[in-house]
Amino acid sequence: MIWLGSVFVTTLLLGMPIVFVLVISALSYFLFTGQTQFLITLPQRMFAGMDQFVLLAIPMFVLAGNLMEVGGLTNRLIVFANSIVGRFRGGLSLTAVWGSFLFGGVSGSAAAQAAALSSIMVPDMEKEGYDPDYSAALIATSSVMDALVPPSITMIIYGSLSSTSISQLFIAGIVPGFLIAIGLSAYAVYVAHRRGYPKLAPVGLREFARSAWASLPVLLLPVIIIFGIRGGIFTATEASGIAVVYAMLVAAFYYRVLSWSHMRRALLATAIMSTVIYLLIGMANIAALIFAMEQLPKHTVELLTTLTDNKYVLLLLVNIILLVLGMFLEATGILILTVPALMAIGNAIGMDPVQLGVMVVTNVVIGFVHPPVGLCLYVVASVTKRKVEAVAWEALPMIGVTLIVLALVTLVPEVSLFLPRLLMP
Amino acid sequence: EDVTLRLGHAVFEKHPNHDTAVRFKEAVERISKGSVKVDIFPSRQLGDVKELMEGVEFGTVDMTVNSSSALATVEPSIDAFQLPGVIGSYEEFAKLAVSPAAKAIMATLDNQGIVALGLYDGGQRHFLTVKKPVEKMADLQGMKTRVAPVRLFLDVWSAVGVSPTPMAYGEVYPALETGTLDAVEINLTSIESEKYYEIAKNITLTGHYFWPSFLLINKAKLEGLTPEQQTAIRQAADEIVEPQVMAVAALDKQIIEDLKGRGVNVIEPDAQFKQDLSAAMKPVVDSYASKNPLIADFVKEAQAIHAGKPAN
Amino acid sequence: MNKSAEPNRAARAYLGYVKVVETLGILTMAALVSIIVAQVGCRYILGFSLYWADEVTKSLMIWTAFLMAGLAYTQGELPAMRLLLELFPAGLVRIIDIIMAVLIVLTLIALARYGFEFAWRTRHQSMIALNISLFWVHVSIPVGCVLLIFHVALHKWLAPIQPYLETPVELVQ
Ligand code: NA
Ligand code: NA
Repeated sequence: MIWLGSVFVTTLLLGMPIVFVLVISALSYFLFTGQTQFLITLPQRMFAGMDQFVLLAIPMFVLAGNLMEVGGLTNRLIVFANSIVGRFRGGLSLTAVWGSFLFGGVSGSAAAQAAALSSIMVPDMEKEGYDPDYSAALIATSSVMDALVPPSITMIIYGSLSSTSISQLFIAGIVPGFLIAIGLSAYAVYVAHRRGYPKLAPVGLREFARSAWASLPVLLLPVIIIFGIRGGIFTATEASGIAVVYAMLVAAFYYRVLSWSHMRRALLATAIMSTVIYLLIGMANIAALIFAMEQLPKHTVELLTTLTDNKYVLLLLVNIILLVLGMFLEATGILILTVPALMAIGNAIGMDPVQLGVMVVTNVVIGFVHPPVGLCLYVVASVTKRKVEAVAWEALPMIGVTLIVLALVTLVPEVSLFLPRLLMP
Repeated sequence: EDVTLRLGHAVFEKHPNHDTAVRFKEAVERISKGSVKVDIFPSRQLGDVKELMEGVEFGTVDMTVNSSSALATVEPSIDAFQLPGVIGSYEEFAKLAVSPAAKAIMATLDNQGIVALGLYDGGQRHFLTVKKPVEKMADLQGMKTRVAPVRLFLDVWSAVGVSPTPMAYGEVYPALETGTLDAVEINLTSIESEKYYEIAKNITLTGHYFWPSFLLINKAKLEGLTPEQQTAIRQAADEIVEPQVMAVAALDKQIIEDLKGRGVNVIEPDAQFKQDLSAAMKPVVDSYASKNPLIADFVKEAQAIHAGKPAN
Repeated sequence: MNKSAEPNRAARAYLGYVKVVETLGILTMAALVSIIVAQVGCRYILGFSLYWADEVTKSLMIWTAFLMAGLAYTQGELPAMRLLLELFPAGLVRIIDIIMAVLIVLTLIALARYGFEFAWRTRHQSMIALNISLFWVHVSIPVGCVLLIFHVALHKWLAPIQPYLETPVELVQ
């Protein structure tokens, strides 16, 4: 275990891509413990991790997002959000938050969302007098909602690892995502008053109607997904394929922008991004085996349950551990390493697996933005050419907002379970 | 020298396969007086069905209790254990599991570096539907039914006239709930553990086939043990067959009562339905038996035991 | 091969290979969409299921992931933590990168070797619907590793050729 840990930390810190860090750690663990007969499990586990039908929703939702992007999705959503919240103080920052929320309904990838929104919005906000570090931080933090508003790749990965229904997880994430949007809006209004950020001129009804019409197909996609699943037409995995066809039709006939070259580029971008995610999932599945062989989940549960038998203290500890892991790893890796232990803990305290899933996903996506390894933080900082530390500093109070929502998800089952029970009684 | 064997399986701890593992652990530790110990890794900790099976072959997992159907593409004669309507009851299953015909099929796995120590049961399969109760052959026609992805099952259910629908296990509950699926063919313990009774309110006790599992051990590992340890392992594996299988029978009875208590409509198929069903399935049984002499022998043995006089 | 020069013969060969892999990736993505949509259509409208859809789509995606792994590496798409390295002098970073590349290549050699053994020893299993040996799916792992070795070892020469590609950078995030 010490070998595994030191090889892992050293190669990670020295800049080796995470997929290779995972393999080399496992490889050295088997070599140094003299268990060379286990080397054949490296490819075996990798394959098993990737060989799951539900994971196919990842390339499909990414592709749907890419195709929508061809239709100028980001701009349309921003104009629409502006027409509703722009009139309040800090209007543009509210647009960033609600634009992210709406964007979450098409995009399955928080990093892609953060990159697209920040490249368009941060320069606009700077012109209106917003501090670019603040704007970048707000967009990075808002991208957390992407993993909670369906479709969500993180939810798919959690569902596949824990055999929890992805359809139910999708629906369960909506309310917590909405709460984060409200919380961030409140913070944005507070900051706007303190720093004197401007309002925008109110938009007339005609203008509102025009922007709503332009973004209608985008707004309809999550509705189609949820009602298609609910109506028994397709499963959550299959919904992803339907989303692609829908996005294609919208880009071709509603926005009239889809060309063969656009298609080609969207398909290629999707193939490469899916490759990266699949490799991560495959490689991390090797690490999960070693954790099981060392009976780490069992020991963790035993350790935690000997520390306390209070359900709430236990959940607090779980959340703290996940947040600390989030400082060093990205979401997929954390899920693969911890889901077995989390399921055991959830069982021990009788927590609904869907609520547990929403709690865990909320927790790991907060890791998208919190330093030092916040993927979205990096993406946004690099797109906007700002210093990561400065953006991270501005993001701290916003992370506080997401933590409040995390506490609500943890303590109040209805926050996640109300909507699935309403829609799928 | 004492040895500790690592046994992994892919099911939850209330599943009959876990019971098999626990019974084996208890028996082998008792018979070997502690010289053979077993560590059980439940719930896919060491991998899923396919990985566990490969793991025993590679020697990376010492033992597993695994659905026999997982090995059907490697050794076709294994289909014998799940031919529909061939094994009449749990009592007959227990006898057949230790019969020469069954042992002959299990012995074919030696070529893969695997020793199948015994055949146990994971629970007889029945037909669970959401809306429409299934009381006669006509009710089954065109029902979108989740079927485990195994060639034999596709053949069987196509012959019966349902529409076999493959689906990831985790998606079955919402698919039943939303109507993407009409039905699922399943064992009773899973109806309880997956809470399918919350949404699917009709169960027809077709008992169409069993869900057998092998207790597998890596061949080299087994042969590397002392003769006493090997004897203890084989003795323990044989000893637990009957009690394990009959425990599933008892558990099934209890779950049926539980399901009735939960308001599930439990349907006992009448003679006509049984006859129609077996008539529809018989061509599949015949075609599998004609393709493979080991399967043919097993079917003969099963018929003999059913008639009350074993063939040997 | 230097950055400003027109691609020479080796570079053209590399670009040809990239084109092939990219085209396969594109075709696979299109195939995945078509099969999944056909699956829904057949079940919901026609009342029967494509029982091979599951197996085929999974295997296609796995092959794509291993075929494109090398390309993803060269394009810098595999996430890495470069935070600490930014504090080091450039010369040291170059040395560390070389050491890491050597370690990666060694790891991949092991993975390719055991990947092939895995594929070979599981050749008796077959795909359920298609009845093709699983060897042909599992062998994607060693193939992907060999391609990756080539990309990691030649990174210094391959990376500068990338600007010639038409990969849509603004979409790949
Ligand atoms: Na989303
Ligand atoms: Na993080």
